[in-house]
Amino acid sequence: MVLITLVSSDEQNFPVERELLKQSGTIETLIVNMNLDDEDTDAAAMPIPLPNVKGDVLEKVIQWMEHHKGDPVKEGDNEDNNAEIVVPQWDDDFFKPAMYGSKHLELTVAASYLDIKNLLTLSCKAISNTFKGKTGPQIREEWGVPNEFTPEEEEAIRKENEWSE
Amino acid sequence: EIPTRFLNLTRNILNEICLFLEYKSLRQLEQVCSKTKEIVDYFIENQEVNFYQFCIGNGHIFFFLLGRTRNLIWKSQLVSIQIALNFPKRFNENSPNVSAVDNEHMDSFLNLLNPLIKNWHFQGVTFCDVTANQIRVCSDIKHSKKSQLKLLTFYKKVNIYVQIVLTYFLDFMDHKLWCKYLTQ
Repeated sequence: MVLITLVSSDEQNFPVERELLKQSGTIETLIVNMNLDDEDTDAAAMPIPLPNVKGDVLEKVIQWMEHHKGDPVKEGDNEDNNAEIVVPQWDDDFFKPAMYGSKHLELTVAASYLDIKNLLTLSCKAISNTFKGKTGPQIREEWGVPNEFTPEEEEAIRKENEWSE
Repeated sequence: EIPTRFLNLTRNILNEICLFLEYKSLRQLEQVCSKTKEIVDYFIENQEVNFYQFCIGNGHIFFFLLGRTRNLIWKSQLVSIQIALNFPKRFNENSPNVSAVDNEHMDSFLNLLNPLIKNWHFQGVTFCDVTANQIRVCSDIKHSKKSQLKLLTFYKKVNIYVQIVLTYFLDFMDHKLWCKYLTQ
């Protein structure tokens, strides 16, 4: 089993199975371009620095990739089926504990940076699920967003959107 | 931890999140704060737009079907059609301007919807053969009254837009009555 070492921004090393890294477009491109998976060269031993991903976040990303090992890797934009995407139970449980905190958001940003499309999609879907069926004030309360509108502004926005309620 | 950090996510991630939201949720998100309003406005304004045109009375109505094929409109079961409308006499800045497409114009209006739904599928039903009358009958069945499409106008930038929310149409699309009607 070929292992490739990822190095987080806080300089933690994570040896990861080569196969898992195919889920990340960013890392896969790097590996291919630099021949990092050629066991006959020194390059294979070269760690991959990820200066934009902290260790605790990278650990979660790897955990997610391990669970989704062997899943088909999403390529490009899927134009058809966003509406039908359902967050699987495992992923829901994975995301939920940190949903309203910075950890989930950091995971989402990492998914975007590492170009892990399936993780990004599910993560964004999970965030969007927190908005569904909620009013603006309810979303504000759940996410702890301060109300910056005056009552007059709030009423004006509400009126503008009245047709969709 | 700052729980409001979702507001600071990058634009591509925020757009990805918005892609999962139907129109109503987007509008609710817009009411959270000025940043979410900016996010949603940007998202909506940058959707690919399908363009159709038809006439009612003496006025030319241009309507824009917002949204990419991904989910915004048909699949989220809410259609918002923005109309740039040249009906200055009917527009009253001081009121929400709720009016309706009358029955006389309903057929032509609904006929124009057909191309939009041509390739759309719902519970195994292909909408390619839907007629205006079928749509209206379905709507009538559900609501026990004549179909009316509310037109709501508001200013957006320098243009006058009218938003038509096809609530009745969309409600019945999401309703078993539709399939029931087709099988009768």
